[in-house]
Amino acid sequence: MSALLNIEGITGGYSVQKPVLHDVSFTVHTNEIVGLIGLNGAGKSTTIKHVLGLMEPSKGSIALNGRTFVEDPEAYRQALSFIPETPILYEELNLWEHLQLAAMAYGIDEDVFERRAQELLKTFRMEKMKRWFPSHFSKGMRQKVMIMCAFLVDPELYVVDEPFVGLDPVAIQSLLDRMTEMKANGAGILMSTHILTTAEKYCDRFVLLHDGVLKMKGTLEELQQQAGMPGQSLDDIYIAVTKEGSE
Amino acid sequence: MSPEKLWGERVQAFWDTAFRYLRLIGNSGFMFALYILVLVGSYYYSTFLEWLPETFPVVFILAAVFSLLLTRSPVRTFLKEGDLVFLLPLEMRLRSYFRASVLYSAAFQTAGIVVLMVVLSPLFLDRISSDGSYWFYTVALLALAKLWNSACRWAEYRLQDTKTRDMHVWLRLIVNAVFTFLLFQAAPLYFTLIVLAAMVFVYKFYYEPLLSKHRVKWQQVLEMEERLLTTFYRMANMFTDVPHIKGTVKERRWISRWVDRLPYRRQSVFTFMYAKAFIRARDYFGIYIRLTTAAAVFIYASPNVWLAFGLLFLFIFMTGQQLLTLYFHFDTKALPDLYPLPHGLKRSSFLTLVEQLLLVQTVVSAVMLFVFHTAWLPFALGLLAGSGFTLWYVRQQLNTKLKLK
Repeated sequence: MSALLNIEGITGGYSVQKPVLHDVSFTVHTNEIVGLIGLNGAGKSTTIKHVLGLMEPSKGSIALNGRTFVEDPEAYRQALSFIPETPILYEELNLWEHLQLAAMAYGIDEDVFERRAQELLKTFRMEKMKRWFPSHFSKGMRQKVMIMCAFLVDPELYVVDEPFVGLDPVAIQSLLDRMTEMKANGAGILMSTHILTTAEKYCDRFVLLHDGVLKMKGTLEELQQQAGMPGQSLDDIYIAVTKEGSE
Repeated sequence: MSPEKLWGERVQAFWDTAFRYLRLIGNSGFMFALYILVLVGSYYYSTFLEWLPETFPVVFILAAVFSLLLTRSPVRTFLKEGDLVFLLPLEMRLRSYFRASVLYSAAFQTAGIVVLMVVLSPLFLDRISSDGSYWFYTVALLALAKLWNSACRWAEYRLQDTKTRDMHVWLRLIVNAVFTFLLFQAAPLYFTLIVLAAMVFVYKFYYEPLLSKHRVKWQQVLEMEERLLTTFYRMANMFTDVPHIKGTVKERRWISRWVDRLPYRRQSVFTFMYAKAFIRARDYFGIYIRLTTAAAVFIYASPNVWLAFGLLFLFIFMTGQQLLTLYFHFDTKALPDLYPLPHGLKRSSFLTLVEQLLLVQTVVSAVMLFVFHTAWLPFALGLLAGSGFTLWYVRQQLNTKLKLK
């Protein structure tokens, strides 16, 4: 089975002399959620920027559906949507206009947009805020707008950066339910997070980054085997692996 | 570090940034256009004074303007958001810091009053008092009144309740109105001095006790500081690009509905974003309306057809300078870069929008030319050359700006 997202030996960062990532390879398939795990500064965000096509690797390649960003930027961008860690909103657009803009940019049919948008507003309990501007939103609400925009587009690949911070428990559950649903429908999801108990429950496979190097990858069982820690939780494995690295 | 030293450093830091902007402002094309307008304006100033009818209520207008300028006495504290955490415990030791702020604000705003008085001096000498020394007395007394207002304003900021505070502002406005009316009526000086003495009395026995009775309301003081800083940056933004200014967004529902009429399709994405930003963000829309109105007024008031014709181009130039900064409005956001849209769509959408706006202004100006100067030739020429100039100039300027980035 060919992978949806295929990252092969990428080395990259803000400068060629001092790369942040060193020879990182992993894949995301359809119908799976891959957890990208690592400490602050491990290189998660840099990896995500490379996947989004915002940064170019100095070595290695990233292919989405078998094609790299340079080969066909529009098709590449069309196939993914991004939920950033810090919500990026347009201060001069209200909630509904954010959704409309996202739908227009990704070429979603107008009637599909209307239907999906209403549904999402209901799920995330934002129906009353349809005409609100971002300056009146809390951190959690801003995050919800980003999440709704991403689901509205319904892409093949979701790139999700630390989505749970600031969300209320109901919203976290809605988000997880949605992700599971999209996964069942055939989407691939790459999710970076620090909330390991949640990751353990929802992710099919994991990629552990430390100091820009890929330390481990695989299912929880595979990680337990590799670390020689059978039956242990992701939390324990993660701490053991990062400790090892600093010695 | 002593409070005085801290204050000095804060002022220094602000002016270092401010001077950099002022230099950019001085060199900008927009400023050049303003010089021309000022020159044209001053040339016709004396004509205007002669034309001004005897019955024109100069005293009332001057009293109204100056009492507003006196009442509105914000205090620049140079505080930063972090001070809420770090300086809060030192509040008791900051008396000299805040006193310096009040004196600085009063002095700065007095400078503005002096400039305005100089500009108005021909009118003043013509209609208020032909005695030059009385002009000096007036300026001196206005300066003292400014100091009083600044000190009172600072004391008012000790009050928690906004309504109570607003009430004080209204009362001060009444006092200032009486004071300035007496001044510009050229009433015997001792009348004015009696009002001034009453003001000092009110400060001593009412306002000053507030300072010891109530604590500094940091949150509100910080808000005031931020407002003043934003005003400065917004002013600077008229001449040059100021990144990251916090501005309020206004919904402007009626006009923004016009944008909702755009066809729902990919090609509309950037037009939608830019048009909404133009209408709601910062003050693009306000500036556009003001400049278009100013163009109409100047063309109407121009005593010469060909001068009016030249003004049409001057205003297209000025408005264009303002609108072109909108191009960089979304530069701090990563989101537009991720949209699966063809390269170049952003640029072409933006150019079309700005061209349309400037063409509307060209038509308005040309029609004004025709209506007030009943001349066919300048009208037709203005319409044609104005449109041509717009199309050429917008592209040329955007290219220059992009190269500078």
